[in-house]
Amino acid sequence: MDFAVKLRYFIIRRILLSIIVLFGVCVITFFIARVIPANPAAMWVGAHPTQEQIERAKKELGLDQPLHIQFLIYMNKLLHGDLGVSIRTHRPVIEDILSYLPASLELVGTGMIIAVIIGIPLGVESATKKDSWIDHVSRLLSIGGVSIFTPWLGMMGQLLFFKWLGLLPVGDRISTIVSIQYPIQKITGFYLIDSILSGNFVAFQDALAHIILPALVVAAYPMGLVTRMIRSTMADVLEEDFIRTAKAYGIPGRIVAYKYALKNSLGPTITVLALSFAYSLVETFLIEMVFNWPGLGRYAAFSIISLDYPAIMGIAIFIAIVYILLNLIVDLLQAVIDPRVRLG
Amino acid sequence: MKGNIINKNAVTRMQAILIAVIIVIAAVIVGAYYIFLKPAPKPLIAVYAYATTDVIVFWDPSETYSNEVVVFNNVYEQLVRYDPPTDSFVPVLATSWSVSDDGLVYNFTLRKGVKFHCGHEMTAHSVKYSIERNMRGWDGQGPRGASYIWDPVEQINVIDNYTVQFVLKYPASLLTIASAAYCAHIYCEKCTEQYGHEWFYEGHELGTGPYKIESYDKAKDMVVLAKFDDYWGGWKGKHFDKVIIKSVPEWSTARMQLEAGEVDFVDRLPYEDIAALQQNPKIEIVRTPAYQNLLGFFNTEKYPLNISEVRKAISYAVPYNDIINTVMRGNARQSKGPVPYGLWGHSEDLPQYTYNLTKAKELLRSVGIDPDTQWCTLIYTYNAGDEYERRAGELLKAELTKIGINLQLQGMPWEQQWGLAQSPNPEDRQDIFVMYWWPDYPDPYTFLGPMFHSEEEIVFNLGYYDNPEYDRLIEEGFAIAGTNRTRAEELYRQAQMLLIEDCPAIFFFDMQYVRPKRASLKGYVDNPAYAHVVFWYNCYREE
Repeated sequence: MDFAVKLRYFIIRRILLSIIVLFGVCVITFFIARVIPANPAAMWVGAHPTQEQIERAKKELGLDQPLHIQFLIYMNKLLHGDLGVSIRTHRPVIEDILSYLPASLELVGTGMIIAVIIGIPLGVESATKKDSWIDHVSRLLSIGGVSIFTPWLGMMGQLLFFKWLGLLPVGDRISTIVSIQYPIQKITGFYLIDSILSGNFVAFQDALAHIILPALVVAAYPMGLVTRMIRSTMADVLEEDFIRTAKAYGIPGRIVAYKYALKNSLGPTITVLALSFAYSLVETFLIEMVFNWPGLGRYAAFSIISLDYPAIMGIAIFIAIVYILLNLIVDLLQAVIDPRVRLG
Repeated sequence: MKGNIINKNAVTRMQAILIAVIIVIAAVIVGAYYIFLKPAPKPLIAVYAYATTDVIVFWDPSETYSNEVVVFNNVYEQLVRYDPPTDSFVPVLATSWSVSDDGLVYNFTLRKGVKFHCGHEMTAHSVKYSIERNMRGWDGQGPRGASYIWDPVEQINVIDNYTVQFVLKYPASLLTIASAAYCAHIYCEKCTEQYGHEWFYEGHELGTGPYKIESYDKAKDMVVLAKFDDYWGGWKGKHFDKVIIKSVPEWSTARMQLEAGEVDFVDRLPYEDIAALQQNPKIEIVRTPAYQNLLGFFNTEKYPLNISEVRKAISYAVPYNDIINTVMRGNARQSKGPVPYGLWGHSEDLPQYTYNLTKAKELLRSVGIDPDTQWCTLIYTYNAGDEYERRAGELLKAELTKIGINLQLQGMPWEQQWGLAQSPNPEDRQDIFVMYWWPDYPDPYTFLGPMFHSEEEIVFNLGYYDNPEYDRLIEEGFAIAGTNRTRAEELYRQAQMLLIEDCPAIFFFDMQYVRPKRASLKGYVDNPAYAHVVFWYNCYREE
């Protein structure tokens, strides 16, 4: 079979599998969220509801129906793109997710870029100069990055850069005052990009100052991962014959490392990066809490605390979709980058 | 060949010109930027860091019952406002009022020339419309949010444009209801009719208050208030032009922003942080008795707490002073019954349980229990994440071991804790349920009623207390509170005596509100009837 046909089969199969996975996610989250004793109807009304109000809210929310009927109603709505209304915020869940998503994407995206920019050279240097001081430093950084509790790192950063040095802000996405005096026009939802596009440099500078610290903290884990991944795969690649041949031809070590060896060790690194991106979207919730970053993770955490089941399900489904899509993209990319990878 | 060289030179010259032009343009832009943007006068802005998520939950004034109280009490106004220190009502939209002798008819004279933010004038029709819509519910399905407080109202009549009459079913205290922080706001009837319920949820309001909502950013969870130029109170003197109310749920962030002067006010911080902030001359701490207390309900339907001697024994084993001094760092006082200190209906002469282990042991022995061996295990549920409830539990646990009770602390999310308490079978429920209570409007009934009046289905009577005599006393007290406050107070006192005697709950402590703010923020007075609200119109900054 030629590549294009194989690709098509591969994609179709993966999409079918994804639907099964998504259905599983729905079933599991729906029933887990419902078996916990809770009273969403009362929460829907407010602080001190009366019995009549609770009864009415139960009807409004469809909680008076048997559980399996509720599930069918939910699935039917889901197929029509309706994730329901959040019990806590009283807004459609999809609206909530979309309004918190750009902040998280911006933070995690910036973190990933930092991780790649620092992590790859560090890994390469570390692999080519084994047991040198740079190797030791890079191993320390990468082990630290993957093992230090990142919210703690965030707090230490706040202590150092805000409290003692006074260089960076303590939290938020932008200074409140700046956001009032120099409002950012909404184009993409990313403050850094929008402020540049609309020529709002005051806001850009402010948004940049706000993102540095949380993005560095977000970067810590993937950076450690990338460095270690590059280092170990590079170490294998550097032993191979073609590298020796390249060296024998007198190609400078730097070019051998970055042009020939690195290319061959990028594959697994991309997979790891893509997965940790999806993972970080909500897994950064503690970092988002520490920096009061209005992102998806913080929203997820608050929804879980208040047992806001439509929101919990919405987030679970959303993240599952992101995972599945990223996995698919990564597999396809791998096949394109590395012809040895067989689609199957 | 030669042509090529000339060409090359020409291009370089072109490039030079191009670069020069770019430099000039850039200089003009930078210059213009500094000329036009720099000297813009800066509006006076105040910032309120709200230690919660979701600054606004309910947008329709007929169903408010949540965090939006902090915004809405600057945007909307009631007929009257309650002033706790003087126990009196301050005229707001009503300038004066009269009550019939039987307490059933109230006539309010309205302030003239009051404009809604939409431009329409506030009249008696607006009052009638707003309250009737609240009572009916926006969809006609019955009152929503805190609107049930209007239950005593039978009819509302428009006498003339500036006089409105309330006829009551029974002589309840209408002024207290009309001053409530929730669901007592007057809004524009014309625009509500025209735009409807959904329109409010698009971020609109129709109040008369000094500030209007300029913008709302749900992602940042932040509201910007801007002064309403046509406010009836006028804008003479010092005021803020804008007020930002933003959610900062992470305490350490709020504290650092307060210290850095980025925010003017934080509604609450942990007491440890308060103690540290007290040393900072730029920070001022405002303390006021709160209409809020901590209670621990006994499961009176399950052994052994169905025995009143056991309940009393535990009440005698609570280390009240230790809890107040170490857990609350002195920011509380031991409760006398369920009505907190500072609210009318609170009686200073009510008896209290004091820490007395000898008495506790005697009580247990009187019902044939040997307190010197471990004889039972009890489950204490509290709201997970609430350090005060947890630590009060730890101290209680240490004392209860001494009378043979093994106390197990179980922190759960509120929803779960409450759900467990509503389990149909009393045996499945907790033994001690800990929670805070605060009023929907400043009336002792909002403590005595929901928490201890018998219920057909469990809502907030979480000690499952059922005493017809008690029910009668508080119902009667509530019904005459409007005409005969003294008698109502007496009835409430008797009812509370029953509670202390029957002991369906531990009355731990009445809290204080402890509000950290910048010292430069002036004019702030904490009004416990409007919990967490800053009336920004009265505030200004003075460095």
